Amino acid sequence: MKVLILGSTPNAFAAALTLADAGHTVEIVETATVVGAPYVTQDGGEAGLAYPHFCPVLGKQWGITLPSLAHTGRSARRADGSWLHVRRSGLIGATEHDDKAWPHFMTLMGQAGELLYYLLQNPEPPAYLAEAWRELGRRQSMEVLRLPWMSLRDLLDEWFEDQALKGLLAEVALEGVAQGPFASGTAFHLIGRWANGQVLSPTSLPGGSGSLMASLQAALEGRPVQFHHVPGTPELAPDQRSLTVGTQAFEFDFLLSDKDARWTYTQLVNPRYLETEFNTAIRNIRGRGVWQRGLGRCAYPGDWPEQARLDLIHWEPGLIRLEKAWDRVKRNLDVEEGPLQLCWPGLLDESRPADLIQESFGYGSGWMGRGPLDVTDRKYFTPVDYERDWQFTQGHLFGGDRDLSQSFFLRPIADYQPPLDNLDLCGSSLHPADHTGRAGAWKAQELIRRFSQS
Amino acid sequence: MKHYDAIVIGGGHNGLVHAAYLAKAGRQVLVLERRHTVGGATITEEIHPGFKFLIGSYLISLLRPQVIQELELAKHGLELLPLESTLVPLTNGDYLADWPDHDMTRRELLRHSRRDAETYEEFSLTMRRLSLAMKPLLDLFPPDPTSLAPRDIEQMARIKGVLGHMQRKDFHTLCRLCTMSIADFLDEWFETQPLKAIKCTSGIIGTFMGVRSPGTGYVALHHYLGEIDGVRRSWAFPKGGTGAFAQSIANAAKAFGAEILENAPVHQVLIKHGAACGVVLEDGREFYADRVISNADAQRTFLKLVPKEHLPDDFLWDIQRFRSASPACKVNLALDGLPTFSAVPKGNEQLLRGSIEIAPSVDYLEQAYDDAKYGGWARKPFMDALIPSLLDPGMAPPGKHVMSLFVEYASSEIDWTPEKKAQFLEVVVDTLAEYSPDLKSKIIHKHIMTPHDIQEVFGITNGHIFHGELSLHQLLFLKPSPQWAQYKTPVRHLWMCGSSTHPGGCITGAPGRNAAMELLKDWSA
Amino acid sequence: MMLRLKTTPFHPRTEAIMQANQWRRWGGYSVASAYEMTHDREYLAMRNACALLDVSALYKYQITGPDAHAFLDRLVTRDISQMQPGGMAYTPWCDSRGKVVDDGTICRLDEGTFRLTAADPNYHWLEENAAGFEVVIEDVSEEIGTLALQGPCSREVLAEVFGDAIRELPFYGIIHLEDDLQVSRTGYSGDLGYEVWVPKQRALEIWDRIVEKGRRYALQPAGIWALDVARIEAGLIMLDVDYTPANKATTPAQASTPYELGLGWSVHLKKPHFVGKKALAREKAEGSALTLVGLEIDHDRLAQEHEKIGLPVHYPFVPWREIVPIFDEQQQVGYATCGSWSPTLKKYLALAQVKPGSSENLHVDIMVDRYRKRFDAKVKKLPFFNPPRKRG
Repeated sequence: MKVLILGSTPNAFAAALTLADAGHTVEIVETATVVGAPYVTQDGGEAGLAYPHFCPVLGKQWGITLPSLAHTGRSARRADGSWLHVRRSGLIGATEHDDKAWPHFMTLMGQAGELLYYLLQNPEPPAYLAEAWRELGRRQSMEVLRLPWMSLRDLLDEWFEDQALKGLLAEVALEGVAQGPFASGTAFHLIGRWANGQVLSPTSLPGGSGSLMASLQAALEGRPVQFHHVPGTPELAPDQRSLTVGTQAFEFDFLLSDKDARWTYTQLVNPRYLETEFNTAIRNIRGRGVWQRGLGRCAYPGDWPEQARLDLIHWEPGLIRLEKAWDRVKRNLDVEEGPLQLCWPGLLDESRPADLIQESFGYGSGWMGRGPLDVTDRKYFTPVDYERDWQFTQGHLFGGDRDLSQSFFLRPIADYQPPLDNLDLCGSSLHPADHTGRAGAWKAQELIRRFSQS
Repeated sequence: MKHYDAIVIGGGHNGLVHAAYLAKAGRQVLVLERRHTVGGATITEEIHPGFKFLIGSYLISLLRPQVIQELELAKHGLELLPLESTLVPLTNGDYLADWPDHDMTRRELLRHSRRDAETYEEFSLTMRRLSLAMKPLLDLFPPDPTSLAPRDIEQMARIKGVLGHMQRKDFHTLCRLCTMSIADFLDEWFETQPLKAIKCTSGIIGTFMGVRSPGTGYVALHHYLGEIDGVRRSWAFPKGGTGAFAQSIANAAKAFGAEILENAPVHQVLIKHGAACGVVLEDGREFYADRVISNADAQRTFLKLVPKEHLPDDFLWDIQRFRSASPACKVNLALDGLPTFSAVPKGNEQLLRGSIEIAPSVDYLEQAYDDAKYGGWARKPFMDALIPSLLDPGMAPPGKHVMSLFVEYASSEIDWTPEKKAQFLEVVVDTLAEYSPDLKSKIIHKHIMTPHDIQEVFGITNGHIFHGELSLHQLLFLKPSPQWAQYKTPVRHLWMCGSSTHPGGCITGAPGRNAAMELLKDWSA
Repeated sequence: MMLRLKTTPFHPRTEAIMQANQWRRWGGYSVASAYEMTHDREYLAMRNACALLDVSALYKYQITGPDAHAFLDRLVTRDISQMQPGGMAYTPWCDSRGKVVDDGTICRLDEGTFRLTAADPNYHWLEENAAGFEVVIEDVSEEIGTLALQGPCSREVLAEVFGDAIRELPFYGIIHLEDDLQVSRTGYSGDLGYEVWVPKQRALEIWDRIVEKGRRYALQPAGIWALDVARIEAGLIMLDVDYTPANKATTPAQASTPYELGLGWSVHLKKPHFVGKKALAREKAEGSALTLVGLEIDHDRLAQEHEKIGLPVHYPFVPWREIVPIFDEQQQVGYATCGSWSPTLKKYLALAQVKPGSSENLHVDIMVDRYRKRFDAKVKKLPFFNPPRKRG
């Protein structure tokens, strides 16, 4: 079978490699102006996501093992100039109450994170999930069940008293999420981040996340996979047997779209060929980018603590501040002082410039150009860029919000069945809604089974 | 001293329902009420001479029909007057109305949006199907999902059966609705702002969440579970106010043999050998019984009435962290005559007989929440107004009227000094006067119940009208504590029957009835 | 101002001739069930002379734009890709499960203008379907009054009113007349008949002209009861009576597919994608749950049973509309949805949904005075009544 894959996130590569290993001919076409989104490294800095997490099982299969560079943890600078350091081993600079609560909180989140990880690791909920849940014991299993529905505020207020700690955790959870910490269900995002280790030890790659894409590219060598980068607007032939981009035409037996569901079923496929209720459901997918990236040059300030050098630094985080930022974003207003995160990847990774500062701005662009530090040589990447250059609908990096109403069997839409016979999704629009390659590999495996039956 | 089978702490409507069921089953029951009259927040009071104010609850919809039937409430004086319409006056002089007739509503909506006029019916049908499927859950005790006890497994199977019978499509809609914000959900259906806003309000009644907060979808569904005579999603005003409704249950309870003692505030639950055996009142009187059932909210029960040493630490923590910050106030106005609303065209005054919603847009509601959520109040509050004297002339002297306003949001975290109370009352009246210019000139007397007042007068912690937030992490088997959600408590022979227990707030009678069913089963076992 | 039911553009005339205050609600309008005390004369006029019906309560949508034709062809089950200006077609349309949303006619008024009629409001559904098409959908329901002139003399009357062009109009054809009105050869009586589509401003003028010319043909204004008898004789289904539209059905089983409603002939699975195609192809292959049949109820025995207890037979002259169980020898095999005495055929007719493969000899329970009795109901081919003049 000849399979064409449109897009070039890790999911596209995972699908391509899986199909190629099963003896199918694969072509990957990227029509966006940038290849490899959302893992795009420019001059050592990240234009998009910074902490790639490619599924280790898949990675092993294709010889993709990358040394990882873990941040030491996270730090928060409070408004009064004092610092809080969050470590797996404990908190530094926290109140006594929070110090005591932290290990118990870590246990609870660890348990919830693990259970969620089982869900994210498998296309269907695995049988051992219920068993693992019961093993937590009556009290703890109930606690875990209670978590995902909570608001971050309710959860964090129960455990901690330090605004900086609460704000830091909430900021991690809500990075790129269009909700404020007061909203029910936001705790689910924290469990999700906990599950993939992003809260306590965010892990980057030497040379930046782009090196993951380079090694995925390299894995194509010697396999029947061709990679094309043809920027333009892809047009699907009415018979759905070929795709034209500009002057180039690609024939296929099956087309896998790594682009998000909204893009695929409105831009690529004309809705008139689809069922009406399906179109409505696609239109109702929610997901808009509320996260932007800044890169620039600025040395790590001498008067900042040494302990935070290799950390991700949160600037004066707080639940109220985060919620207030959301108050504006939800009305499509820009945010003066939204959540701000800083790090110096070059201090962790010698291959990158030591004075490279990598910032991320939650919700709004208010900090841009007037942050707390004197940064030169600034470059910004916003949802507008992500939509235009990366072909991500509304600049959302995961093909749609990953809240409870759009996760698991409700993703990308409830009861999703590919509406066309030879076209399907394979990207982060599908469960588990990430760029680990799992969605692509699972879809490819499903196709291989289908091809072998017919 | 007489020894009772059961003592019910609190004569709120659930306490009365509970007592009536126990009495009906032949038990000797004593209801102890703090105030001079039963009803709790289900009460009508003549605050200003001749004017009957609804200082607590004001409408009935979710009341389980079984309660009416089994307690023979009609015989004991319950009369329900259905509310026919809903009116949303707008500041631009226009209005949106929900009429009692399908064709009329459709035509009304057509003035605003052709699309909405048509989706409205599909929306109503969808909500009806969802509530149809969910309704049985109101009458089930919440099973413990971690338990392998036969009754829990059986109950889980029953719930699975209930949900399993739903159409796949509806099941998915239900899952989405429960995890979405009501505003997002409605965005999928409607484009008219006031229509969206009015439908949004079901998602925020009594709830300290904004219309754009996920979780409000569930609250909206909760309010859709009501019925009057099988007509889903309809509200009614009890003749004589909700107080008369409480009296009808009290009458029923007494008729079945229950005793009700008023002016009897409970000081503490008496516990002997780890089991509740009675109560001591604030005046020192003691009453003894085999079972003590608290109709007070969970926090009041376990943080005030039960000595701490009898409670396990993690249970105490569960109760302490139970979310009950409240956003709701109740305002009553005594009026010299019927106020006019500039949005209501001449000849359409019948619309004033329904509920009047000050909810012109989704953003208006969200702004009201944003104003209050950091511990303040809405500068332009959402209001659900009702002129009971139009439905029941007995509520006010001839020619005069009373107006009942449910007002959100004003945080229970505010330090409600008399000045603050007066200020917020002004905010309410000023906001309403924007829609009714002659309102102020007709006010004879005004009265506000802030969350603080609701706490002081009715004894509800933080004045939360649902005895704790209806958020998803406080529902079913998590209500009020993950381990004690089946009306039992860690103290032997001490039970709960109030709105802190499944299925939660509103005038439903369900917690009272469910708890009675469980208690009676437990007793006979 | 009190909200009252809407009235049609012809109301001043229909109200003037209403004798028995027999109004009913139809699509938010107040329309006549019958103008006279009984509807006998109104029905007989429809079969023997001509009857004038106010059917303005039908919903009408005008669809224009470069993709109008393609849009409609995707919307409905029938292949209308070859429809020329002046053409008209009856068709159901379905949701993606293949359940009927509504049924009505589509006509092509000119190159780029189409009009769709529907029994229920469909604006939202049309709009939902317009994704990916360049079309403009306009609800013209309230702009256009519709009169149906049905019966053997209808052609003569309209020829006198509008000229001989009427005589050339083929079955399911539509022509423009007098600039702003159209006449189509369509109707709901299963007989020779026409429908006149007029801008509401001219409604009364057209009514008057038709009534004036119709006088010597014994034209009779008729209400819904008369039409209901005629449509049952013609085996034509009705929304909300014979089926529940997909978007109003509470359970999937309540909704019907075109195959179940005897409209299989209007499902063209060979045409390119249309809404519900996949589901309908599956149903075609796997078979339907129900099928529409005509039933002829043993009226001789009905008469005998009445005579036995000394009563004259009671035939339903006003059609009934309710769900009535239908049995074979052992058990219920389906249900009737409406029934009527046919004064033309002198038979007791009913429309029913039964399981495919059920016996031809079925039974139905009918009240004889105060007691329920079982009667034979024989399956008959639809339509019961189909005069050659309908198409001739």
